[in-house]
Amino acid sequence: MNAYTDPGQHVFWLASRAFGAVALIMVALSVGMGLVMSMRAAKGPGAMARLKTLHEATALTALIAIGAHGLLLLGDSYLRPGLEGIAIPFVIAHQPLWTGLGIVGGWLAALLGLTFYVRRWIGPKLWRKMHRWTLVVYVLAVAHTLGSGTDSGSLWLLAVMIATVAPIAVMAVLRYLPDGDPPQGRPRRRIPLPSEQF
Amino acid sequence: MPGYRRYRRRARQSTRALTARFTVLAVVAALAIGGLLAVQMASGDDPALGPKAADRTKKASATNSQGSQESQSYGYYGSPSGYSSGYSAQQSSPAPVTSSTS
Repeated sequence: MNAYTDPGQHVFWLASRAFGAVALIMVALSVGMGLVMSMRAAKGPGAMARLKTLHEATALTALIAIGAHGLLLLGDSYLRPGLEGIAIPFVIAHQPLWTGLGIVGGWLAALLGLTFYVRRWIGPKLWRKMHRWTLVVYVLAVAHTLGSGTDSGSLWLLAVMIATVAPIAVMAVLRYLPDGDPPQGRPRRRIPLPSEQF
Repeated sequence: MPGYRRYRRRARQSTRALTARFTVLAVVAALAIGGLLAVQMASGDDPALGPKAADRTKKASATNSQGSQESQSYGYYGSPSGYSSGYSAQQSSPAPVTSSTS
C-alpha cells in the first residue's frame, strides 16, 4: 500500500467526498419536496403538514451535510484549502470555478433556507419570492458535483444524479411553465358557520 | 390561541426530532459511502488516485526488473506529476528530503 492507495492518509478527503454526496441527495430531496408542496400535489388529510415537516428537516440536514463537506476539507493535509478557500467563492486553487459555484450554492442554501425562520420579519411575500431561488441551489450543487466532484464519473453517483435530476427537472418545468398559474390542487373546503350546521 | 401555540410547539418538536433522526441517518450514510470510497482507493480504483497508483506500480516493477536502486529516491512527494491532477493542482505540502548526498 502506498500514498495513492492508503485510505488512512486521505481520511478527511474521503469523508468530505462522502458528505458531499449525502448533501447532494438531501438537497435534492428537500427541493423535490418543496416543489411537490408548491404544486399542492400532496393529497390527503395532514399530508401538506407532514410534507412541510419533512421538507424542513431534510433542508436542515442538507445544511449540516454541506457544512461537514466543506469543513472536513480543512483537515486534508494535501489540498489545504484554508478557511478562505472553503468560504470565499473562486479563491481556492483547485478548480476555482466549479468549487466556487459549490461555495455560492452552499451560502445560498443557508441564506434562502434559514430565512424561513425570519419570515415574520421579512414578510411572507418577500420570503416566498426568495425561497423560490432555492432551485438555483440545486442547479449549482449539480454543476459543482459534475465540474469538480472526484466521483462525478463514477456510476453510482451518476445513477444518484439521474434519479434525482430527472424528477426535479420535470417538476420544475411543470411548476414554472410560463403559460399559466401554478396548479391550485383541490379547492379549499368551506367551513360552515354554526348557524348553517343545523 | 393556546391551542395554536400547543400545535406550533408540537410541530417544532417533531421537526427537531426528525432533523436529529435525519442527521444520524446522514452520518451513517456518509460513513458507508466513505467506507466504500476507502475500499475503492485501497484497491487502486480511486477516480483521482487510481491512475497514479497504477502508474507508480508500473514504474516500480520496471525499475525492479532493471535492478536499479532508483526506487529509493522515488518518493511520494517527489512524483513529477504531483498529487493528482484530478484532485489537486496545488501541492501545498512541503516536499521532504528523500535523498541525501552525503
